[in-house]
Amino acid sequence: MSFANLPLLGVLAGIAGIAALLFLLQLLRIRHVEVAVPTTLFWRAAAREAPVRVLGGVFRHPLAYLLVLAICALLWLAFAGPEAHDDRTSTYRVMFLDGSAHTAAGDDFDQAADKLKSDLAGLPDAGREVIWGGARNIKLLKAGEDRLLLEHRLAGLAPEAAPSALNEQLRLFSLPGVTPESLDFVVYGRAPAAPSVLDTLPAGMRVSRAIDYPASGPNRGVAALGVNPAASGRWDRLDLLIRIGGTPDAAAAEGMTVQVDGRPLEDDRLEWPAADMAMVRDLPADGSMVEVRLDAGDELALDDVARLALPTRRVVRVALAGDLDPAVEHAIEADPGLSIVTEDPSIILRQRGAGSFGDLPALEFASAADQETAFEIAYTGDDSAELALRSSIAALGLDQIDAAGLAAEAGRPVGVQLRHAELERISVWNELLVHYNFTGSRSFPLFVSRAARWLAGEPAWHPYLASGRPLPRATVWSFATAADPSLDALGADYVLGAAGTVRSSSGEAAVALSSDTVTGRNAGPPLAMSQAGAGFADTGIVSWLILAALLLLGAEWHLYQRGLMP
Amino acid sequence: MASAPTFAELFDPDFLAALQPFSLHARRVARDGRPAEQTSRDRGFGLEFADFKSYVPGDDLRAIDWNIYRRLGRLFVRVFEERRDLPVYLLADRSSSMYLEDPPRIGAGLRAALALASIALGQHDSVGLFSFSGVLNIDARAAAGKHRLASFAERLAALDERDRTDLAGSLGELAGHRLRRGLLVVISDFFDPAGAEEIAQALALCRHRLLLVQLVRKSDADPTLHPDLHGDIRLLDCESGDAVDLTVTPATLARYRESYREFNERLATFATDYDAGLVRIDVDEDVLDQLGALFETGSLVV
Repeated sequence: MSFANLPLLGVLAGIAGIAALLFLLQLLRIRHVEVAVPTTLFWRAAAREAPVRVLGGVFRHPLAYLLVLAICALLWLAFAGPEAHDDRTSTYRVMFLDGSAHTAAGDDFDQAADKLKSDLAGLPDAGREVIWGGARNIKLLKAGEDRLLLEHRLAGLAPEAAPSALNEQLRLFSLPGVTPESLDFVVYGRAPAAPSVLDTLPAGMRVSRAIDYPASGPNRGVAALGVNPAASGRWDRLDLLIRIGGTPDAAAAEGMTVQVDGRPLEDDRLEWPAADMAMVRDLPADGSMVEVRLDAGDELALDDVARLALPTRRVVRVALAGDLDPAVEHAIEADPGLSIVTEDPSIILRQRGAGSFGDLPALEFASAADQETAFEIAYTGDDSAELALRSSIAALGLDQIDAAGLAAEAGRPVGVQLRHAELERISVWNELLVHYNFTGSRSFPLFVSRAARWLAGEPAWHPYLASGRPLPRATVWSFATAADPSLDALGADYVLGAAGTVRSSSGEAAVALSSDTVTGRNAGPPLAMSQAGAGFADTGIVSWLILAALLLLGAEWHLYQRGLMP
Repeated sequence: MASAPTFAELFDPDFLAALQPFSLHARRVARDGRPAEQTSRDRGFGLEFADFKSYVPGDDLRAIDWNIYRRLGRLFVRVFEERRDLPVYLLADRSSSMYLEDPPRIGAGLRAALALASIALGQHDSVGLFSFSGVLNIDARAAAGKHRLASFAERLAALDERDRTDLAGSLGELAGHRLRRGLLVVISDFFDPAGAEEIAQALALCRHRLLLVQLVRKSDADPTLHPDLHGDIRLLDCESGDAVDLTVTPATLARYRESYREFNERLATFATDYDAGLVRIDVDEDVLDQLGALFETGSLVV
């Protein structure tokens, strides 16, 4: 037996306090009610034999005291919220309400929510919690919170266009020190658990499903949507890849329409290298929004539409100034996205101090004597130095450089230094190019190309944006800076939320559901059926306590009416 | 607070009409009364034949029975029983205890007094009214005549509340008035602080026949019926103001009931020993119904 609202010591102390208070009241209650009577003739003898109670006198009504104490103690125990400890109530219960696309078909979600509310009524408040498993896992009801709060918190919640994060939640509970000694994890919904996750659960943890759903019907949806640089080699063009997924019994991939910025794409642009895969070649990399829509007509509609914002590729006008190493010019000429101009440039590549193009972002080459570190980067914006360092190293391709080899060649450390400035600028040792054979490195053209685009402020390239999946490492920084700066600083995977529109450093981007697990209606390994909330209610103890108190009150009233109690 | 009935409430024609079948008879009334309907010890010229006696000079010659003289040769005269009136003295309690509670006992007491007065006046008996509390008051000297009933009711209604009860002292005072022997009706709750024994001794000294009308209510015998008599209470005697503190428990209730029972038993024992009438009237019930039970054969013989 334990108590939901008070510790055991508090309950006992409360009963002792009540007993003491009632005892004092029994002693103190000496204010008499005055009653006028025709005569006191017959009462005098009675008063002599049973003198009135006085303060400090003998305690004269022990049975009445015990009765009142019993009533008060029962009410106090009811207030404390006793909880019986059988096998079910001694087990902590995590109720995972699946709000992912897995449970979005038909009335699956309504069934899950109703079952959750029903089960919740039979569980002690302190022994359970409710987690919302949508695009992000959120604790809907903490242990100890009143279940009435759930109704309010569930209002407006609906399944989201995202794969389930059930496995992440299970992994979290599998961490040492997180899971109570005995834990029932009940899934309300169709979210599948991965066998690899189930195999690593701690000994006291059991995973079960609350509802025995019937098998899913056939389903078809967009399982993948992404872009690649055009196979034709045109630098400002992209190839779009579409893959249709579904249950084995789903109809063939037909009824698919592709729109670019709202305009339907001609059917002859679509190539079908496989039955479930379509390609659109040489789409212009102009930031258009591509929407793929399937006329599937199945019960799951969330995966019938997918959107992707195409990257933007534009020519960066580069001015050269000073006596630059020829390898620099060759690297620029080799990149069709860069154009050497003499007027109206976007950026400048120069020897430090050379040129007269005014204040423009610049890639400078300076003597090692004038610069402490090999790479000096001046950045703008509000990001912290650490975040700017991480994002710029990735964006400039510095992580591709063989820094150790260069350092060995140079005989001194090759480092990167960041500072905040009004204008972006990258400064590199001349000696790296001339003496230490950086120009001979395969990463040099990449560095020049990326440096030029970074200086020109070209948006990051997102080959795909899929809900519930980590971003490619190269593009994480663009989201980390816009959405949650702390994420990338921690080095964690940045997982996108529900399908829809998100903001990145380069503007709005579209996230597609694109999940084979969802579209394929993968049910995962079968889970045991839960017994949560089946027929046992701790609230029953409280009811019985209150009923007993009422019965004793009735008995007291009866005794009082019959003159057997003062 | 409830009050005593007014004249209009008391002098209720329906109530008085319902008393018509009732009569009050004494087994024998004292001599020297007025001619009336009660059997007396006087012999004279009444209508009821009583006896013969030998003729002596001076006897009324019209009473000589000549048939006996013809057969026996001796003179006898017929003697007739004379009917006299019964003096009825109503002694009403007007102490504070009679005016306490709701309804007050005085209401039932005055109705009972008026009923007995009406019956007595209706059979040409004389009725006198006395009231008592700490002292005795003469409110109406004994007089006969049906026409006096209204004025008698007025005097009853005019009785007001006085302080304490001293029945024993009032009876002693009444004895000093040397009234003609008759029927003394004591209408009271008999809650005299002197106790039942004192009352019985005082009543025993009365020269009159006695009818005790005890005004009671159910809560007298069972205090649990009183809404305020529970828990820790301070009882205030409405007459003396004396306070008694006590905690009402089953034990105290039992002790009270025993005291009350002893009190009633003493009154009943007295009534039995002295051939007095004792009637208990519940003030919460209808007085007429209870008097009907008293006059169950239509006539009450005292």
